[in-house]
Amino acid sequence: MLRVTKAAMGKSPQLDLTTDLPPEEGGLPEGDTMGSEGARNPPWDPDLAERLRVLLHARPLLALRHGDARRQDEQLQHYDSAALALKAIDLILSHTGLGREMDYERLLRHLTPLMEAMDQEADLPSDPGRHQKMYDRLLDSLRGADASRNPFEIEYTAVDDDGEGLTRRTMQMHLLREEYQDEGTVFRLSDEATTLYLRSLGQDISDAQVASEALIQHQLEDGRFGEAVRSARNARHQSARFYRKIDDLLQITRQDLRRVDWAESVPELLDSARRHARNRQAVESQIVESAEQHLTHLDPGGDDYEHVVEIRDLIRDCRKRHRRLYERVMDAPDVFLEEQARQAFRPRSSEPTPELGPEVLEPLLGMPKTDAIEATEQGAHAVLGPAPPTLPTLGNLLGWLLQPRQHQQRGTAELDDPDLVAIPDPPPRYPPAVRQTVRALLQDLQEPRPLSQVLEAVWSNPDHEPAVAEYLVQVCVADFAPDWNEEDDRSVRTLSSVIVRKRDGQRLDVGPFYGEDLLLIPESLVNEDNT
Amino acid sequence: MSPLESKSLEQQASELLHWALDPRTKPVQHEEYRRLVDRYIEDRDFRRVVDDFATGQKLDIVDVSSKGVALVPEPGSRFASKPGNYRRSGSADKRLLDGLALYGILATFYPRASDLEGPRDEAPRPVTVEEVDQNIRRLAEQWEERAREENRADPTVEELEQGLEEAWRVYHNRVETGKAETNGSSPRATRSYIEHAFEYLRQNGLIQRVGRSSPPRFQPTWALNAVIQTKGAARVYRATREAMSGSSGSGPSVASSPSS
Repeated sequence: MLRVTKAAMGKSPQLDLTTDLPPEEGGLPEGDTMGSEGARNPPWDPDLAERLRVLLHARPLLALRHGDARRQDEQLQHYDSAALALKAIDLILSHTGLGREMDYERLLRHLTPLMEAMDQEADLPSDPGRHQKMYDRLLDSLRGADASRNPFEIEYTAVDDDGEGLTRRTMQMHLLREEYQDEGTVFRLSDEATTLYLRSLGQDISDAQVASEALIQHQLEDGRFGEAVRSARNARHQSARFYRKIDDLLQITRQDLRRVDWAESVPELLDSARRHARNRQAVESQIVESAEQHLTHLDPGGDDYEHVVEIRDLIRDCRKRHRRLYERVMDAPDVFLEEQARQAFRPRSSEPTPELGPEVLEPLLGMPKTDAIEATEQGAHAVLGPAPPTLPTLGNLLGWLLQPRQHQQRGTAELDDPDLVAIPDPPPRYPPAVRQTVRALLQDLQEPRPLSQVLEAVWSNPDHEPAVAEYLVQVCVADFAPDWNEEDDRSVRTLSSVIVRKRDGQRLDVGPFYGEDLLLIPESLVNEDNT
Repeated sequence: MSPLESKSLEQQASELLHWALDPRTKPVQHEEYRRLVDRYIEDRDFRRVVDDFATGQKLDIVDVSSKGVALVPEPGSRFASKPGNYRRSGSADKRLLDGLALYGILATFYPRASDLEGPRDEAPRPVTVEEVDQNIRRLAEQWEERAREENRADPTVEELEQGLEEAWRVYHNRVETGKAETNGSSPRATRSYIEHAFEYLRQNGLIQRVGRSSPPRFQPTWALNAVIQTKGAARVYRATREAMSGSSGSGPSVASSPSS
């Protein structure tokens, strides 16, 4: 007889350490508690519950799609929210931990072509204002189930471990969150959304890197270099995730030691991370060696050659990340001991964390005005940040005292229309024809190519004047290390069609140009590879 | 030897505090700031000197990371913000509405206790002026409903003169928005106080505007998030409780708040 109970699967206040661990490296599948008899003939395989949970993660996305037709704003009804959401998830995931992460503006820019295509399909003109509106709605939907940021709550039924009872469980999940980075705020997928996305592509997240690297070796041996490039990119993504997990753990330890389980979970995680980093480095060295051998047999100008070079560089990057991971893991116990010593005598607040709505704002509104003023002014200085006092100087004081008195005229005054004169921009250093040629050259790129190759083709072509090569180098270098725009608080890119990366150890030596070589990767290719 | 390394430990410590006093500046923008932050994180002796300097200045360093240094001035610190920094002068009503707008913003960014306990690097979702106003107004309406149910009389003239009118009445009696005779929103409307609060926080590097959409959306910066999660929320709560315990007049106690 089946019995039905209810349980809520809320999030643990402590850091979840086991989500991404390979089972053989310390992470037990959740709920894997069946005895050997059950394992031989399980009434309900625990893996089914896990699969069901993964499947249910798609529900918010499907709900988005169902909501399209019911959208009150008719101007937005033609947008396929699920497609836009999946594209957004893909873009965020593919850039996480690899630099140039998706922030608000960048994600909007990447989603705009898809929204334009949907406009075209519906015979509507492209409208940036409408795109912005749809984009904001999409983000709101992905952030949480409602405006108060509650997580999505999905009920499902699972069979108990003994196979005799049914339990109704509630799964809480977030899809999208925003995270502070050194340069600003970027989007990150929750672990649940990452799992959903990767598993929906048939990949097992737990040992994705092991699988990716085995695949690269296999594809290299088979001569399927294009496919091996994609596997190598995936492997690099996985190594970045693992490093970030350890980094997060140490950061939380520095903030508050109590939030991390250093008694059991962390030592297990560090141990598995250490083994993972060591094993991966050995395999990655073999892949790099294998790639080097292939390079000796390939035509340096050919596509295969470039693919293998990219694989080698990507795997070298993985190896570097794993070396850093290894060092980080080895230093981790010191961080723990140091923080334990530092935080041991830190006074702990005995007060519970307040609910700012019901416990602060609400009683404040019910207070007499004078008390409410006192309370807000007493508390405000703790949240308004430091306000360094302005230093008085004698010179400023004299200037202030000697300034002529300003007479205020009361009444109204008519304002003349401003006499605006259009001032032309200063002439650009490079004529439009040169800039157009370079842009066309870069837009025509179908595959990643070193700058040295593109430059060589330009330099040796008598149809191109030297200014074309000069401008090509300048825009690529500018995009490799873009300027920082103080006003917008973001970097300024010159090119929109290519991503510029460094080619480690490769030199550029073409005509008068000399230095380290760069790799030009068509941006469209980066996006395609991640779908 | 680089210029930074040629300086004494104390000089480097004071320079780190100099950078930290401006939350708009990020280590990623200045090599020297970045190196000082790195040193603070990695070098225990340097950290101790910086912490001592800060304590002497009545500043509490609540978090340091590659995103910056989050400081909270202790009560009585010369670096503590004063009402005059926020608004040059104002009547009691203005001061009250400024405070409610600021607290309303915080309560909208962090509605639940769990939002204050989340990962330090996770940014709360962006909010608009309208959302904050609706949040405060909803609570004010709850108070109004309760007063009606209890047949509570309107404040007397004496009570008004003594400032014993309940805070919700002041907020409730102001329009949300509205146009003045000149262009722009009415400066008396509640939303203009929230706009002022957002602008003050933005100029001080504590919030950022997200995108260019209209109406504008704002989100806390890392510095505000660190301050609120570590000390800010607790201090705000404590100040409110102290005011409640020493409440001077007819204001309802916590137990009688409309949602309790």
